[in-house]
Amino acid sequence: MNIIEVKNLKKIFFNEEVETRAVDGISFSVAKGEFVSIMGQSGSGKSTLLQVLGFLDKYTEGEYIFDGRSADSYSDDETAKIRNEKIGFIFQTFNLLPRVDVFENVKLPLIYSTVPESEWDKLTMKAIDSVGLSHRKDHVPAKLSGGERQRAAIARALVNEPSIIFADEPTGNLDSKSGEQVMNLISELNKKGHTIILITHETYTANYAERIIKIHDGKIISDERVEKRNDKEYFEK
Amino acid sequence: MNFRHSVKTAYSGISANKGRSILTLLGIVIGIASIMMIISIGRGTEELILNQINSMGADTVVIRPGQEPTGPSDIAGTIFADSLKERDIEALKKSQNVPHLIDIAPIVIVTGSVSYESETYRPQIFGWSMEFMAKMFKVYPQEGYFFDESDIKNKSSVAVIGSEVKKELFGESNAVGKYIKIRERKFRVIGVIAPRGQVAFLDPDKVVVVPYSTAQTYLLGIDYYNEVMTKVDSPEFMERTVEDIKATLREQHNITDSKKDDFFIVTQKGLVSQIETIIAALTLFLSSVVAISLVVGGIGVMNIMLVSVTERTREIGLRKALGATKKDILFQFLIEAVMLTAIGGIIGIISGALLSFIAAYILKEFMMLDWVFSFPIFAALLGFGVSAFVGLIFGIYPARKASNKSPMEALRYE
Repeated sequence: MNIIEVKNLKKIFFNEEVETRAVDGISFSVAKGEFVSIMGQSGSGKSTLLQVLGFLDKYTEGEYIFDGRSADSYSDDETAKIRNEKIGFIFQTFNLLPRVDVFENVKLPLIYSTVPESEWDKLTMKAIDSVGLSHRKDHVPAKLSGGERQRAAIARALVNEPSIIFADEPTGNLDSKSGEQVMNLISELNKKGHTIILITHETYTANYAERIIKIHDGKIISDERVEKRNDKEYFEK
Repeated sequence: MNFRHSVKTAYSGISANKGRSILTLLGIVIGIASIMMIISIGRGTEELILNQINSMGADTVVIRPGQEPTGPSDIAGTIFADSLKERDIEALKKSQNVPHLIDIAPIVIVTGSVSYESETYRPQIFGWSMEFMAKMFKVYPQEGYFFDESDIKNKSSVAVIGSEVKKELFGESNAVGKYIKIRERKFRVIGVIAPRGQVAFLDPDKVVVVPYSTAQTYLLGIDYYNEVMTKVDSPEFMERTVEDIKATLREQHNITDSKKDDFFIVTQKGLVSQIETIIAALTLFLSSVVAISLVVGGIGVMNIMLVSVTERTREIGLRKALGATKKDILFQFLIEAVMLTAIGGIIGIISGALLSFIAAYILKEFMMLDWVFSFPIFAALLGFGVSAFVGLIFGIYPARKASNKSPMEALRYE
């Protein structure tokens, strides 16, 4: 069963009469539970593709079927609901609210959800525990290290138990040690059944996935399975 | 998102920029406090004037000569109007004409000063009936006695003076039996009115009263009255008596068209409604001036909300990415604006109440007015409602702007 199916997807920006084809006729599908890296240089269109797939932006042409239903057919409120319930986002710049603590940041998706309020605190704590940040839950983001901030963002992405997690350069702003920690966490999420789509320009990071799609100038140039996965357990074996 | 969390989110938005929020509030605070003060002081003024009118008594009918004044310039006209004369009084006294009239006394106003030896004082000088005045203002002689009907009939040159006048002219020495001069004519002081304090536009402590007939003949050389005061046996016959008086006077003056009346009637009820109309109009006028300041305050709130929306573009994008709907964002910013102005409103109500209380205290203690502090609940509710409404109106545009941001555009914003 595919969670994502795109056929000839295009995203064209019009800027002062100049048209930019950020995504130019892409077709592929992602099965439920898969871990896919999308690789490309900056300006290749990989981030735009992720935004379209994550319902953050609309596409111009083609077909996008999410979870068996055409993305065209969703209303604004329905896409908000999908972003809330089925999708988790991890951003390069973390995007934590600076004025509230880790606990409130992680809880944020829940206040927009249909989850009963009585369960919010429990679910929030569970998510914070799973990224190992319980001791930091009362800290505001400014008091955290980069790695801790990204772990808080991961906790926020998984607090609603989404079926798919989009990670856009999650290690881009981190040192290699924190980056590895974050990637290990993401791998674990995949093992727990979450579908992961990871955007990166680093081969090392991309190799955590089981499949790498390479993009250049808005087009897919390769789509291959990873032979030597960059997996903690893989190395341990 | 539920309402409680919308409020919580809005509150954290406001408290994130405390200094800026407080400055924004100031406009609303000043506007609402001013409205509160206008209403409170308006109420106090009304109360003060109404108390004075009410002390005139519900059974008093005042007849004035001339046309009813419709503006300040007309009042001069009534002072020199000469339509009320002795034969009118005689006609009104007849019970077949005005059956419920129990007392009647004309008044003549004398301008000028009063002197005793080298002392001079400018009191209010009336040619009146002392019996009528004693009943109406509940005054009694502190020394000597009051003149009566026979003094009026004989046009005696006697005078009754207020306690203040006595003090000014005679100091501690005895006044009764001494001669004072009014308009170069000598009057014998026969009584001093016991101190009473202001009652219904008149301070009995500061008057000099002589028989009206004496004033007409010897002081002014006129045959008309400036005012005629009457008493009705019971307030329930008030309206009927007013009609009877009008009919009698029209017959006396051969008037067939009521528009050509050369007299007009003042009653307590009529005065009360006049005063109420004037104060309501004044309050409305002042409030509408203040409303301008609220609009300015509202624009300030809108301005700050727009800044806040721009500053929090990334936050809006993030919230949308995490599942906030357009409506969630719209409400977040709208509630924030309403909360901002409502807090301003509450502070304004409290400071308005405080300032009016201080004003009331000053008026009472230092101006010696019989002032009653009043702060109606409706005014507080109105102030709160108005301030929240200002937030709603001026918050809609920024909130709509926030809610229409595309999540991606917003997240990309630096």
